[in-house]
Amino acid sequence: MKHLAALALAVVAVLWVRSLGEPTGTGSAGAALAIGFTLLGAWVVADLLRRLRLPRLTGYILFGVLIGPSVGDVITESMAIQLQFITGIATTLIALIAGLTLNLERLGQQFAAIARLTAITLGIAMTGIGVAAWIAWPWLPIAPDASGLTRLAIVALLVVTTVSFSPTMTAAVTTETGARGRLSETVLTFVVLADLALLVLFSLAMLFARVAVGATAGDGAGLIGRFVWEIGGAVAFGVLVGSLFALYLRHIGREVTLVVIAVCALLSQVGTSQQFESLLAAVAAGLVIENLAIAQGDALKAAVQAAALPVLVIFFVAVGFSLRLDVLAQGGVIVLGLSALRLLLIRFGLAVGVRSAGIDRAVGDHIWTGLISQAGITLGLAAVVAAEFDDWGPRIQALLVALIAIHELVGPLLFRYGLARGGELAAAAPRPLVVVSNREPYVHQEDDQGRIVAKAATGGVAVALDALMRERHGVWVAHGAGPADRQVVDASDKVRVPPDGPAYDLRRLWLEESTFSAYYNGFANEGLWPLCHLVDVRPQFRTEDWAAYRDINERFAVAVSQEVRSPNTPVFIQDYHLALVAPALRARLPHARTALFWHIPWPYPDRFRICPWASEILAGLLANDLLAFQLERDRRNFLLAAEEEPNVEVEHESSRVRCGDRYTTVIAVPIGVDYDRIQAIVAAPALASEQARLRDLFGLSARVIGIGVDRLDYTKGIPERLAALDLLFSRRPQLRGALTFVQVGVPSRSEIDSYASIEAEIGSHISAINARHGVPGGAPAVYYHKSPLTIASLAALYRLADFCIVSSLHDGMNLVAKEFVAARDDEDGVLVLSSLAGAAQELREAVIINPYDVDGFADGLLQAIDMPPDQRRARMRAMRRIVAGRNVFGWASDILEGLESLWTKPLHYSVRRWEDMSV
Amino acid sequence: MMPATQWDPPWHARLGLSWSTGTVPVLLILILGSALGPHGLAVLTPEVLRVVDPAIPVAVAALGILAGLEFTRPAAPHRWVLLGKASLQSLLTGAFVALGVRFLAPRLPGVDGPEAWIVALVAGVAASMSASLPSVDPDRLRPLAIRLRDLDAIVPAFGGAVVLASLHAPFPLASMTLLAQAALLALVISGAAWLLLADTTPSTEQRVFSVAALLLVGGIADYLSLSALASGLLAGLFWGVVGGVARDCIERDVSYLRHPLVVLMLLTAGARTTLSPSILALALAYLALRAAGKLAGAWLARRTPGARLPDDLGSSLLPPGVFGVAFALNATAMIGPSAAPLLAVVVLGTIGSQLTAAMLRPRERRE
Repeated sequence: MKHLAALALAVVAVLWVRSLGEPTGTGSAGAALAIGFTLLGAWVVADLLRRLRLPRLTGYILFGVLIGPSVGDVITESMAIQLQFITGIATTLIALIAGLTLNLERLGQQFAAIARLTAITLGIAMTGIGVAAWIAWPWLPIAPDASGLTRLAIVALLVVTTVSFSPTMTAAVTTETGARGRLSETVLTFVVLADLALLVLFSLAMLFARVAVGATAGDGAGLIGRFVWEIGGAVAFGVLVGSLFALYLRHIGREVTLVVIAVCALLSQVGTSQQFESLLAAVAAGLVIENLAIAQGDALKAAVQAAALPVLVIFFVAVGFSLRLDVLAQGGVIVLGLSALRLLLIRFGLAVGVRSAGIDRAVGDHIWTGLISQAGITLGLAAVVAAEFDDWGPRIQALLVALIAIHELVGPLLFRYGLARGGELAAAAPRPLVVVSNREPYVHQEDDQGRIVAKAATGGVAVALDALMRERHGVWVAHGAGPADRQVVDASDKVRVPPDGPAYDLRRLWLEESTFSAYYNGFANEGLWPLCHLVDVRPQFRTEDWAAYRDINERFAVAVSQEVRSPNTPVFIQDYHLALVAPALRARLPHARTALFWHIPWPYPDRFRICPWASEILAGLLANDLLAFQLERDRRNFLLAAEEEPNVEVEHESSRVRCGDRYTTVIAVPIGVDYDRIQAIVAAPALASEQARLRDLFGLSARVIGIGVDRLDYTKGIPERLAALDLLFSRRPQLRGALTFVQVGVPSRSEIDSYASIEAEIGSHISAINARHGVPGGAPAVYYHKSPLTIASLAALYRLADFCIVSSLHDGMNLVAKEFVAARDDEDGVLVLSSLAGAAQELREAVIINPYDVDGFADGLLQAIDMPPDQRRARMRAMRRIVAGRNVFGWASDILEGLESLWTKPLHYSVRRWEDMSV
Repeated sequence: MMPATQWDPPWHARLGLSWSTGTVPVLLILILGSALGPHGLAVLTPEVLRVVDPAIPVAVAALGILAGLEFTRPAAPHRWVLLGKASLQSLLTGAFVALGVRFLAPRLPGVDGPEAWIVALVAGVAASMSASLPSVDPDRLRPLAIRLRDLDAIVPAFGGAVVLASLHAPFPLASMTLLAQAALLALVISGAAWLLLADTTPSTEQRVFSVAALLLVGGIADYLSLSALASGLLAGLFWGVVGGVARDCIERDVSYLRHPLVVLMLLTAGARTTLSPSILALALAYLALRAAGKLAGAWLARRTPGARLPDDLGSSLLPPGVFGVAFALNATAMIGPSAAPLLAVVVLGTIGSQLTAAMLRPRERRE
């Protein structure tokens, strides 16, 4: 509704502006207005149509027809003319995209078959239309009196332009519907190849027409030279531009979208001025980038897909402007007849071609639906004919524009129908997902009345993956650790969750205590955890723990293999507990598609070699198709570690690792928090009462409140934090009784000695601080809370605090830092953040401290306490922008989309920074 | 630990590149534009410049939008005091330059009578602005002198809008009515964009709406031959005040487009610059009057009550920024070919001001 109101306002504004008079200043007046209005209106209308299950493209074109000069006249003829420059760029961009779709390696043997199909279909369609046009010549409204060579030349031009297709429409429909499969790929390759051939034939036909009508002079060699220049010059220029562009992408790679638009403008302008086929040059440039510079091609494609959209929207609306319904009405019968003949001949050509090229009938039967559309290239060719042959050229153009009017409106709808019949729209629907983690998203337990209830996990990752599974459906495989878990599962150990709206299966794995302890407490938490965190805790590696780790990973893999229904089902494995699931799974399902996210840091190679089974862990991880880390640092460390392995090859540029005959793509995707959920919690009226409850519970009467929220772990730097607070109270005694620091510390892994000792140390340290700095009758210096808090209580606590300390000695990311920022919609509060936490790479506006430097840490705390309100607000605002821009759902979809894109192409672009490709 | 303030690049970088906006080497691009223009190597032919023309009001509007957003930024202490002082010094500079140019303008070919007043006022408005835009992180606090400099485009931008509106109607009431309608139109478009962005989550969609809003704001001003800078400023103030998603999206997307748009605008301004002895003489006068106005304005601003400003405030105000060239280019397009010498004077004055500023650089300090 808001969108419609906005569109109404925009229409009012444009009509109001026009009522104030025609532009008087520069010749450009009206262009920006027309483009802006077009962009806004077309998007809103297309969105409406999408809700009616119609293609967006139809919406753009329809909007163009409705507001264009021939119907609504909101955009006048002169304003529409102003858009011609944009449409010129768009046509070249379309040709570039067409070139980028032709990956010869990927198409492989199919390429020859599709090329054969294209040649046969084009041959039959062109011959048929040519013969029909020759016979029906006296009735065609072009040049009835033409005869001989002139008539043959005009027929040749008519044939080439009438048969031409629209790679843009085809690409746009497949992109929009998300269709994936052989039909969409065959159609796209067909139209690109066909239009390439037609561009060459068009040049030839133009040359022939010039000679036939006597518009050009010169000998045969001169004419051949001109033809060679038009085609060869275009290809050579395209190859040059493509190579330079690939170099730019490789070595600079910034503002790619803007540069691509500039390149299209260059190709368009130089092509016109040097009289060669700019569209052919653009296709050649795309082909070079796609096939000779694979990584750069992906970066370019990502940028084009992300940001060239406005150009294409304007192009389609401009097509709508040019659709002259009056011309269609005048030449109705002839235009309809020509359209029907084109369709008939294409279908006949396809029937012959499919048989001859040996293409699967299931695909071949629906190819014709993708060959109806005509748009930019046809319009461009028609414009060239009209401009060069001013007697009969405009009549051919009028005929083609009327044809396009039909094909443009019908084409996208038919192709969508064809994709649906071919079963490729179903392929676009999200495939069920298999998530594998040690911890389960719901634990079943008995409540006070003895009823079994499901308790949801509260961690940010668990919440995000749960939301993802609600949408995607599928199975989540995890260790069943709840006291009542066994009572609710079915015979295959599954239970439907979430309880409030079952959407996916939770498959529970039953692990006996002794093996679980050796796997979880032993190898994972006494071995890998300290190995990967640079703290002074010696990793413990025991053979029996390693055996348990392997055994349980194997059991996870067996369970997963039973749940993977199709080789295409993505399997998303979580964390360092399950490093060996992928190879065990692959032994059962060689074509399984797996991604693993390693949540904790990855150590530098020398440290990693401490692990006696380092090679096995590496090989296990390299059995995944996609391996994701939190930070660039971790990705680099992993690649360095992999490089030291024999039989492993690392491709640093594309961030791929070859192990045996398979590749693993390694990327860095920092995790985020569920920003929207935290926003909703802090915006709820219940926040105030929860804050009051916590004030009472913790006895928070101090003027200044600080907080720390951690699992009690030696990596979190809690003793260092307490030492800094101790020093702070000593340095500024007036804070005694005026400052309370709330330490929420939930004990974990207490059965491990290192954890038990850190718990004891923290307890005694807090007692000492309170004894030293406590004020009789005043607020405590440190309040220690050992029970876990719900996310709502945590959010309320975050909002109570003047500062929050995250002092990890080493941390993959640390979501508490991001949660604190997300909760501060009041743009207040200071984050004191360890430079050794992954979050410090992103949240640079925090007060950054080194937890090992107690003096500096205390300085940082003083800075946080004394920080002026405007500086607090400025820093928090900057951090909120970062946290809001990278939430946990974006993290999950980045990894899964990355994994799914491996079906068709390696994911090179994910290793680049998002900012490099943004618009 | 991150510093709380942000500093200009070192002096040699400023001198070499005249990095006055922090991201765009103004001096280099103006000279490059001039070299590539029709009077130089003729790479940028009049036809190419005509193709680029629609982007100019959009670029100018983008600057206005960012200035409006900057002014409404929540964490900006002494905002009104600094605006008052900034406006005082810019008005003084504008008056110096306008009177000087009015006196000398009849020496330019084809500039006489009422047109000389228009040319003088446009030159005054262009000279009065030193503003640049925060380059790296807009949320980081900058020194007071820099913040004052960045606020000095606001009042002149609205004053310039009045000057341009007066070109269209002989009577003040008619031109004011037109101006009011243009302001309302800018607010209507801002409102439409706000409605769209408040209800839109995907970033692609947000980007389309932000770009459309920018084009409409610039396009309306262009269509009516009014100041795109003022329209943009008004829209920026609107989005800044309503805040929320709309503000964030517009700021993100317009900031991204700012760099290429400003480069395009500066290249165009350079390319459209013609040289003649009378233009050079007027440019020298413009440069001297601007410098005198800025130094006098800084002296006055320091003596008015309010925020405490550094002794060398005048040096901070000497860099010309990009708003002056933007406004002059916009105004030249509205006035017509007879204003071409005016643009040349402003471009040469900008280059001269940039060099002067690089030589009289303020001391580095933390506030």
